[in-house]
Amino acid sequence: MNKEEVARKITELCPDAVVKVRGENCHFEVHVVSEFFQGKNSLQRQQPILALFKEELSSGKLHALSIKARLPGE
Amino acid sequence: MNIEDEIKQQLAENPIILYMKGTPDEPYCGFSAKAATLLKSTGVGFAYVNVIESPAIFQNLPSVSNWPTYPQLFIKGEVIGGSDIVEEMLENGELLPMLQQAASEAG
Repeated sequence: MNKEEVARKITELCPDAVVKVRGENCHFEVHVVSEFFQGKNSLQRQQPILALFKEELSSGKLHALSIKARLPGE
Repeated sequence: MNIEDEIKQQLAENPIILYMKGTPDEPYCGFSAKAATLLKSTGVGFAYVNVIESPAIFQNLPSVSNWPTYPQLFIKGEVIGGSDIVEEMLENGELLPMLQQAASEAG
C-alpha cells in the first residue's frame, strides 16, 4: 500500500480534507485536517478513518496507522 | 462459551484492560509498547491480554470494539482507543481520573 492510496481513501471520506501521509509500506502516520471532525472526540475522529482500512489492517497488508485528526485551525 | 462472550466477560471482570501485542514487559510492537509504558507510568493497575497468544481474540476483538488495530485500551468495558489516543488523553489530563475512578470502583 502506498501513500497516495492512503490519502485517496481518506479524501473520499472527507473531500475537504488536507491529508499528509508519512511512512512507508506497512506503517503510516497520517495527518488529516477537515471539518468532518467538528464536535467529535479523538475516538470518534479516528474510528471512521481506521474503518476505511479495515481489510488492509486485518490482512496485515497495513500494520499500523497513526492518525492525527484535527479541525482547521486546531 | 463463544469467543465474543469470552471477550465480554473479560471486559466485565477487568475495569481496565489493555489488549496488546506481547506483554507490558515484552511488547512485540512499538504501539503496544507505548500504550503499556504510558499506562504503567500512571501507577494504576491494569489487566492485559497478549493477543498474539490468543489468535481467536486477535481475530474477533475488532468486531466487538469496532477498532481494527492493536493495542486497544478498555475502561469499564468501553473502548478508549489505541496508543495515540491513550497518549493524547494522558497529556490532556482526561485519562488519569478515568483510570483512578475505574480502579476505585473495582474495590
